[in-house]
Amino acid sequence: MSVSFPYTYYACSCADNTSTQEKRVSQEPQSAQDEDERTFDPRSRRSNFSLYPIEHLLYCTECHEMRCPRCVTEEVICWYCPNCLFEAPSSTIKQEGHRCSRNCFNCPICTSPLSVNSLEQPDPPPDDKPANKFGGPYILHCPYCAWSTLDIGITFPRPSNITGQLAKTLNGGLPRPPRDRKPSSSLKRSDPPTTHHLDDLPSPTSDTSTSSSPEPPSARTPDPQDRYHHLLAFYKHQLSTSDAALLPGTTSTSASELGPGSPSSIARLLHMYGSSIRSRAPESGPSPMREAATPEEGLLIYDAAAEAADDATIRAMQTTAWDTHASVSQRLDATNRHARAVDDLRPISPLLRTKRAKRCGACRQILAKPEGKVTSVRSKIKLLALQNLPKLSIKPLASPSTMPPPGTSAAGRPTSTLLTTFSSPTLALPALSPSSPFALRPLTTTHYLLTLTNPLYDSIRVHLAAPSALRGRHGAGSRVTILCPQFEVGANTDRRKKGERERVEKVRREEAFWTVLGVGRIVGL
Amino acid sequence: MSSRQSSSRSKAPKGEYIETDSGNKVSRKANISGTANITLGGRTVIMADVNLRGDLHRLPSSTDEPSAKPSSTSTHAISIGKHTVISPRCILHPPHRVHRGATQYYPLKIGDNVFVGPGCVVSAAAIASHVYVGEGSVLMPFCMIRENVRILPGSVVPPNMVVPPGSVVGGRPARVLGEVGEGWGVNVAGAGGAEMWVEGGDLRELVRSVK
Repeated sequence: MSVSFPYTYYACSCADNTSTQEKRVSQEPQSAQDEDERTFDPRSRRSNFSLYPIEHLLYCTECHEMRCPRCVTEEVICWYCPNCLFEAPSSTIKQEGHRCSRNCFNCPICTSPLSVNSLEQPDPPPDDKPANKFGGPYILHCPYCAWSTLDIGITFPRPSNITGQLAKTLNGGLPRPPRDRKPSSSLKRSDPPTTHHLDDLPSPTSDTSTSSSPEPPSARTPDPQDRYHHLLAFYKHQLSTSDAALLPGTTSTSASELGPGSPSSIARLLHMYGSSIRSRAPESGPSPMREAATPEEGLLIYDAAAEAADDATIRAMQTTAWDTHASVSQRLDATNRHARAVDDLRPISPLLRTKRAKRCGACRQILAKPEGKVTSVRSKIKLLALQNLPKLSIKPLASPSTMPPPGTSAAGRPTSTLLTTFSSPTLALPALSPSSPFALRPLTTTHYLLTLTNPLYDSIRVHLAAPSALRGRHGAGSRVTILCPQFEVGANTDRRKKGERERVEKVRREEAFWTVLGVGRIVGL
Repeated sequence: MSSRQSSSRSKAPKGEYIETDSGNKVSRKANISGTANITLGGRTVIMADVNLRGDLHRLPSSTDEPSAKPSSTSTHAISIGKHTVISPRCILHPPHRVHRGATQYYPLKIGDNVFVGPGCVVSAAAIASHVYVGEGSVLMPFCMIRENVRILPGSVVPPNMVVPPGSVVGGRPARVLGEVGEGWGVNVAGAGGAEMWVEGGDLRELVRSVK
């Protein structure tokens, strides 16, 4: 993977018209002007999205095309937590969402993983049992930035099931008021609650509303999760009642069925976003569902209290220090998007990651399929562009002071640069970035070596071309001269070892004014 | 390792590297302490000014009481696999934590074909195989790097972080930024000279080229 200055990216042709691409491939470069207009322009803003290093490219053996991440379709093989590397079954994903429900937490300040620490004094109790040597309250502590849940006033009595304990505690250490069940009871909910969210608590009482408790301003507004549950219960209730109303057998108009307010579409949405819903989707919906109208149904009313809360937030922003406010990235990471102060942030469960199989977007052939186990790094199928396309690599050939003259064989050269870089400890920072001696300078000619590696068992003919004059902000006035525009790369000779290669080196010279390399194209096979 | 070192010292007295019987190349300028607690898997390069702190090994269960199990496994401090390159000025420092008032060291394991760039500080609990650590990175204590991981230069991997297989991490503190492509470590050139080694691939050629 090349990241230092002379690097090679491959342009996937999936974005533009492939038919012209084909024509271009078969065409001989007789009209340079015409060619120039149709060649790939690396400076186009759009081309950023179709340039990839070859390691990221796949090759469809059916279509005989390279496939970039934009033109493959992906299928999730498994979900896993990046922290504990446990696979989460897909049923859990549907019910509990895409965050790890184990004891993994990330710091809301700096995103590094939190560890469970005991607050007990480390006076060694004489018993030598390693299991319960530390008692007392526990905290989640960030070893990187020293943030801990003490900063938001939360301690845990037990070191296990932190997720459950955290869900029961508000910031500041107060227990979370039990979830208000009034709306569902007042709506005569017919179906039992089927959601099992992380913080779903059995709550017998239904007296308090969160907006009445005297707490920091953010806590005065109803908890977003509570609101979500209210809305969910409300919509479920509506679904069930509209289901019941439908039973007399009314005829449906398709317009009302497809409208955004119709029960069927809302049921679809709930199926998509919510958990499993018992009620079947109604066949037709004469009466569109109404929206939530009361706070019990999940409506958020901007009233005097909310205004006062906003004012308090603004006042706090004016008076308190800068670092007491959550930064934009911290707010984006937080599960509670209404958190404005650092004190409102809570430990974040890490997002699950996926292992994905990739298919060709055109012919649906599987291009890459990793093994199902989380920790396994092998793959069952892997059709790489590296094994089917010639690999181009550009290396600076000469900085005449440090490099050998261009006549020597290329075999040992990068090794020698490596050694000059590495083996002398006196070379400090400049030696650290290997591209620095080879960076382009104005009014100097820089030589580059373009190496093509042919992985195929047939020889290929290569035509290189560069624009006659470089356009653009930085390239203006500079020229790229290709010393050998046509050559042949022999076949991959070693059939025993798939990977042996034949190399042809061509010197590519650049008359640099202040320039960037032009793009050579491979024409024909 | 110490015995191999001394035996092979006579073979190549002039070069910068001392080559052991199993092909390990250890620079004469490397600072290695506690060689008895260091294992090199073979064909591994330790470059100049690398600090290998093999003396920081796990002590018997308690510091004050000489336990009955000072076994060989417990005194391993650093173990490095095959074809691994440790670049100049790296510090390999086994992770430690304060355990009931006493500092306890834990072994540091590095797998095969790992490239650790110049000037890194490595206190990881484990680095799996085919990992590329960019220059100037800091792997803080007890982080675990899984297979096929690329760590961007200058990143600081926070303590206890587990880097999932096949990911690209970077930043301070490091977070997972993306995934390495499917072609990570695949070398078309195969046995084609040292110039064609790729990050995360087989580093045998690179090791061979070090003289």
